[in-house]
Amino acid sequence: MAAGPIYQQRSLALTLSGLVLFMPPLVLLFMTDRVLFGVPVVYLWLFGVWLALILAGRVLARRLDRVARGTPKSAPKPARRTGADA
Amino acid sequence: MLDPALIVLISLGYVGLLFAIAWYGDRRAERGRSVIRNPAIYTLSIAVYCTSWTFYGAVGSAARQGPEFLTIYLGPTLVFLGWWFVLRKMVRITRVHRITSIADFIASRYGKSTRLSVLVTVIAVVGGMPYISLQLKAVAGSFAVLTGFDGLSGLDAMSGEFPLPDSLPRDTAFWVAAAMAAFAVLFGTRHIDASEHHEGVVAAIAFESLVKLLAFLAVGIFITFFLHDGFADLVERAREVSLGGPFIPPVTGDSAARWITTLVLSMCAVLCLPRQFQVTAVECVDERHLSTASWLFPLYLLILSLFVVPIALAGLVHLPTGADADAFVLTVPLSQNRPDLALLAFLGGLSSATAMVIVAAITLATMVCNDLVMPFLLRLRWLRLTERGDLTGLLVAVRRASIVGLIFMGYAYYRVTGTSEALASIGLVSFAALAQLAPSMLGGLFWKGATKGGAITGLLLGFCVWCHTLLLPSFVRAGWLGASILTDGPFGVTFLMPEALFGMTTLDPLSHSLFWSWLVNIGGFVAVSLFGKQQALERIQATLYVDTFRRADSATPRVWSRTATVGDLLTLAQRFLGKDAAGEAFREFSRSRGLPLRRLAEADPDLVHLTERLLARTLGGASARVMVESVAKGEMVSLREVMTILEETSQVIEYSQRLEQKSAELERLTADLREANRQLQELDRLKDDFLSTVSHELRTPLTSIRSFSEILSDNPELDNAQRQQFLAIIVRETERLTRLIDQLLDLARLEAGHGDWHMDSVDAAAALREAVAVTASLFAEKKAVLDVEILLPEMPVHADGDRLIQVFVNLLSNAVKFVPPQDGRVRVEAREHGRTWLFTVADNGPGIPEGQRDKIFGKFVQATGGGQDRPAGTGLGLAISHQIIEHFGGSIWADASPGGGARFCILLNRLSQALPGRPPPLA
Repeated sequence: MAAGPIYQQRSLALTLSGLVLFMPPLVLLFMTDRVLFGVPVVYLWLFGVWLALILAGRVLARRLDRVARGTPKSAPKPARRTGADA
Repeated sequence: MLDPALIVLISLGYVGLLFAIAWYGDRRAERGRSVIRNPAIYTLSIAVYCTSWTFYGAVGSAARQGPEFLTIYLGPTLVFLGWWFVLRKMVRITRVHRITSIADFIASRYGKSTRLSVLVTVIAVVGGMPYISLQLKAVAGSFAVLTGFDGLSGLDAMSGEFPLPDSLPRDTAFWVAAAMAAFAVLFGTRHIDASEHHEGVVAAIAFESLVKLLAFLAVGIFITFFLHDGFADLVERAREVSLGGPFIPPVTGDSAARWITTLVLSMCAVLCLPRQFQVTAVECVDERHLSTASWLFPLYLLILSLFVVPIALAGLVHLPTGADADAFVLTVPLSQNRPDLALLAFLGGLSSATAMVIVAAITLATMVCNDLVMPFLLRLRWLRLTERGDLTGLLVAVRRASIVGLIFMGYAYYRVTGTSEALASIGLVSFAALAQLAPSMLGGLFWKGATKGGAITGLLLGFCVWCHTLLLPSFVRAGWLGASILTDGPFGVTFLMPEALFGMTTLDPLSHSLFWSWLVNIGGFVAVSLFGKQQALERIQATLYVDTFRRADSATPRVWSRTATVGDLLTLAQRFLGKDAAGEAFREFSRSRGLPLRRLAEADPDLVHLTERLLARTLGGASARVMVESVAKGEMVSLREVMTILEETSQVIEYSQRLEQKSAELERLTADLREANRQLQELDRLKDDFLSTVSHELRTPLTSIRSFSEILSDNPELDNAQRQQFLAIIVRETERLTRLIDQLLDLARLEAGHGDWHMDSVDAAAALREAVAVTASLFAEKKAVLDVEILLPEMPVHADGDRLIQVFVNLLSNAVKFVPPQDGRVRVEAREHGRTWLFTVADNGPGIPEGQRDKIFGKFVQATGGGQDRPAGTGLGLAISHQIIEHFGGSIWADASPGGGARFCILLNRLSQALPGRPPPLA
């Protein structure tokens, strides 16, 4: 539980950094006709940052989930898929 | 050209499949084996966010405005990344307080206000109407594209002016609307149950989210990897085709404001859209699913967006200039002779449209029923609704009517506004309306000071500005109003021009609208909140919302002092929940209390609260409160009562603090007592010692007196000389006894402070000289030399002259007692020592061992220098001297004299002037 606040802070930092990375003026830097690996750089930038945020978000979500449930890191995961037996 | 009959058949088949899934989901839920209790299905149901606007509109937007379409998906990504802070709180509050809709959510936060819930409902309905019509338009347009596509005609069916069929039966949109209404009525209002979960509907829309993703991916993969050789090839082709200009219009500095606006709008939308609130918070069966959705939903959005640009590019490459970009998903496969893919895409578009319309209709109908119609009906006294029996039927009917009404209002909007606008711009108008809810909602979640007045003011102002700056222009474009309003302002007032309010022309219409509407919305919300007052219930609800995670049990505290009869409450609950459900809930309550309900005539506050919670599930918080108040007497605890409670509490706290102080005092007293006891015991021991010493000292002379008296009495024949000797001993011992008793009495008087003092300014030097004179005979007797050195003629002190002489005589006689028989020397000195006089009496006797120097001033203590004979004396002289000198404010001590013997020193305070007869200053 002691690790909770740090994950919350990381989560906030991740969200805010996503906001900055997706906003002008940073995003305007990539608004050119330039093409890298055959793809316009603006899409490389947006999708790249997007994917990175999702991956980081996934790692953090698991940690935060553990914090919310109050289970220690080593404890076996509670069955998440109960009811998904369809 | 596809056969319309085939399309209709497939569509019907698809809708039938949806019905089956919903039915299956409901049946599983009834058996308690929920299919939607799964984070992936929860995530897919949230993907109802992606409507036909995404499916068709995103491609169109990408072709027209470049990467801007992505902001609609980046916004929700950010909100879900920050799930821990906003979404989690929202979901928890919704679950704990049995919130049924976003109107309920906001109204409950601000004291379960009916006016607020009505206002939110109106905004949601007005703002949601264009959105519903957008879906109908998309389905009708896509149908027209599929059936009308032969070569190139019909390409602009999605956004162009394709003719609306004159008769309703021939209008596709009408039948689509009818089918969706039927579905929503069947599965959205099947029962008024306690949980208000629509498991069947959620299962169906989760399935639809899967279908639209797969359909879109199929078209995208076909275009990118089969029609072309990957992304790079497609980009290369697009570059060749575009004539001079950039092949994708980039966002430049000018449109940066619009970029920010759409990003912010989409962030608000994913929180505030009624249907998003429904699937994310109300239909959430397990809070823990949110952590999975926090990354899975953004991933869904990313995958869906991946092929938007390729499809847009392919449309620009393969279709003639001017073709409707909103239809590229359909027209590109058709142009490549892949009607099967086009049909799949059509199904995907149908999925996205139906899912949105169904959820939006159910959600809005719940709000309309709970927050608009029912409060209104219940207030109509002549209907006597509150006295009627079972109202569940009425509730279901109102909801069904609302669903049908809402969907056909959307259809009507679609008919009258025509088909002129692109999908994305209609969607954004809706977003901007719902974004007006964001300040009150987020403010209510994090700011306890936000008031009902503030929320109502902000919502009203923001909504009015939205109507003026976005809705009005869209009416103008639909041809309902003269274009002069846009160019000259209403009634010719130019600074009120809808798209350039107060002459602001630097922003695009959307950003312009959001800026002004939020300015007045947030401004009004904050200002009225800061200067207004909160009612007691508002304050309670504010604390419950803001401190959701701080409270151990998040239930409403029982601040209500309401009573009602059990019968009244049961009747009330039965009216809205049905006989069985209400009876079961009440029986459950009585079981948990261990009390049969029949024995309780008067319901306690808990039962009143339970009833309100039960009603809130179906009616929403505001209406439930009104209903319960209609039967429950008494009211909210008044402010004065709360103050009394607070006062009592603070009194209790104060009392306990006082108790604490008392106990600390007691502890201190106990310690003091213990210390006093210890001292008493010590004194007792000292007294015993003293008594035994005194009795010993008295016994010694008595014994010798007695024994010599006996000898004299028993032996009359003793010779005279011996008789004289014995008699002399007896006299000496008697004198000693007298002296001892005198001194004892003297010491006792001194110690008790009853001494007979004659304090005056006296000359200490004179006293010393007198003492020397008195003891001169003793010295002569012992042949000891007395050496006196008094340096000053006069040494004035404040003292009792006789007592001072007594001290000096005592010291001198002590000294002469201890000097050796031959060559005894005693030296007396008196001199100045700083502000005091110093007197010393030193001898050349055996001295006092260092360890005994302090004790020597005790009672009956005599220096025993090396086992010699006990010197004559009582052992009280020094003790008395000590007492006397202390009384004079001086000090006396013993140390070793330079010659090796003992030396006694006395320090006495000097008097500045000694004028006999004048009262001395206080020392």
